[in-house]
Amino acid sequence: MTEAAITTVPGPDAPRNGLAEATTPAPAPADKGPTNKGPSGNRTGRALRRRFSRPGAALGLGLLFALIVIALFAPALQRHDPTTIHYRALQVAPSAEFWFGTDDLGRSVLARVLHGLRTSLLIGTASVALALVIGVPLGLLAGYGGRRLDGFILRFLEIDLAFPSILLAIAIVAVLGPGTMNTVYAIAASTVPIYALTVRSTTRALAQREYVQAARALGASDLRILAVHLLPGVVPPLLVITTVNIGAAVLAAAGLGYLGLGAQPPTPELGTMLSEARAYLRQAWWMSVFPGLAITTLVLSMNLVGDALGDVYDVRASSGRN
Amino acid sequence: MASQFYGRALALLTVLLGVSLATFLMVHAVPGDPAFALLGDQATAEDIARVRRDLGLDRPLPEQYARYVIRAVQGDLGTSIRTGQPVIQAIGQRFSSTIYLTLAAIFLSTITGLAVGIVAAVSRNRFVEFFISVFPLVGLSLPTFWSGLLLITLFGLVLKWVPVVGDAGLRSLVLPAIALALPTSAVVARMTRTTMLATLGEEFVRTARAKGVPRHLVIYKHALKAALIPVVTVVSLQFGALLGGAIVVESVFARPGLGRLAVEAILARDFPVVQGVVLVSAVVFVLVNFAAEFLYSALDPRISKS
Repeated sequence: MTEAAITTVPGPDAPRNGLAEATTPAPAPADKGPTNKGPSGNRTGRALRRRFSRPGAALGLGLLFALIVIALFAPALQRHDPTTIHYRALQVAPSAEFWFGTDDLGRSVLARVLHGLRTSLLIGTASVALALVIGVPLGLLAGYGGRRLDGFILRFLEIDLAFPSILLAIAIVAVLGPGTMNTVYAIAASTVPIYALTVRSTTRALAQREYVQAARALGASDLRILAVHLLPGVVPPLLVITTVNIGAAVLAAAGLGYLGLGAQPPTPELGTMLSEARAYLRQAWWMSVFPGLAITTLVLSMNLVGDALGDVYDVRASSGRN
Repeated sequence: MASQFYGRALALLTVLLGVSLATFLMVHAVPGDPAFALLGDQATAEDIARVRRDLGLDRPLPEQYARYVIRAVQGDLGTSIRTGQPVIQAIGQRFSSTIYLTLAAIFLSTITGLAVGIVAAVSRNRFVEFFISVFPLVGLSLPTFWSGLLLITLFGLVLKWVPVVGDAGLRSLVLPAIALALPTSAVVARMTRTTMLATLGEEFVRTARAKGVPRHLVIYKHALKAALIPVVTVVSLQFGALLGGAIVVESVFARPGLGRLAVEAILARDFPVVQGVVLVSAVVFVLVNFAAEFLYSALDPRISKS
């Protein structure tokens, strides 16, 4: 969602359709893409290359790569520390010394933006990873297990989805207290259904396939069928949902930061920087413009990559709206 | 139709019970004694004992939950620790501000999303196409709290067209609604474009064209009508995101709404208020989705038949 925001395009409606499929038999398998398009060989590989040679996708991939490198090497890339206070340089406009200027406490905005990117990427990837670790097994069990197990897991996911995602995150932060790791837990909890429902609908469709039936007839155990035959088929739609939702997770984390409920000072966090900048919009434009640009560019690059992947695997057309 | 309604109503009831259980357990999930969590660090042993008795915390959990649900149904969500005000009253005072903002954003995003989506589906102009393909991406990538700040700077501080903070009627609703509507309008635009393109290729549209129905009539009467159905679903699903997003946007524009109530309550560790806000928003969201499902089947006769 991020909800909000947290819940962007495939976020909220993909899982909902997954739920809707509970009542409609034979959901379109999300990985049918390649087979639908014809029998020819390595279509996915070619489609991948074609998509990423388009300007938008290439731009997204390049930007994302650059931002990750910048975030990884943030400490080495500029000379100031993000938490050092320069008493004689309060709210200095961008200059040769401070490229992005300084904030109201005289801290380098450039250093804080670079370290803030780090925080955002960390929270984004960690929360998505955690949501995957919980959501994928749940989805596999619901899709492959019996009706009762499926119904039970679905109810659980429905209840989770009943909370607007940022509100669920806020409730969790209310219980655990604000902080970087608690932001990760909060965002993971509100995004588990997205992954679980995607995996569930794909698993259900795959379980009907001949090769799975054949494996079962040959005496393969349920665990082996789940791990060897079903899990790989789940990966392509997951990949798309995941890339798009890392962007949403980054936005959600920054939103919590803006509210003062995310990563706590002195950790440089882009949302927190924006809320600090709110009081100085007129005096110090650089305090809000650079952190805002940083979040937007990061999320945009993730959305561009997600879009290109979505086109390749045709996820939106099959597991999404019908 | 009737049996389908009862089936869904039963599912709705289960979800509402689950939601209430989750919010009920929220306070119990706090490490340590809930009474201590409610009262904070300065509480004396007597205070804690009194609160435990008042809240029925000394009774078994299932009984506590039953009491919580019965009270909630009667509109009793407890009292705020910070102000001593009944929670339901505090929510009532802030609710309208948030709902107006959410509704304004739904209205704005539907209108702009539909417009952009239709133009995107119909236009063959390269420049328009480029703009249209960029709009949803940027809309989805721009954090509402930054676009809000940009709007405040431009229209509030530089041009001075609108008041920038607080809730002073319709005029102060404009900027927050725009900030909140932007991501959703991107979603709606995408959806409209996709479904319009799909319906424009369908046979009934081709037939209409072949019969000599003018192009604009084909687009607006035949294709748009069919394309509206998924848009209704998307908008109703976005309601939750908007309600949540309103919390952040309220904070940017210092609007006294539910979100600010929740954030202030969290920072003051005023649990009954947080619990109340979370419960009320989840219930509203679930009910809106329930209503949308029926609107959806009313719009598309194919669904109620299956």
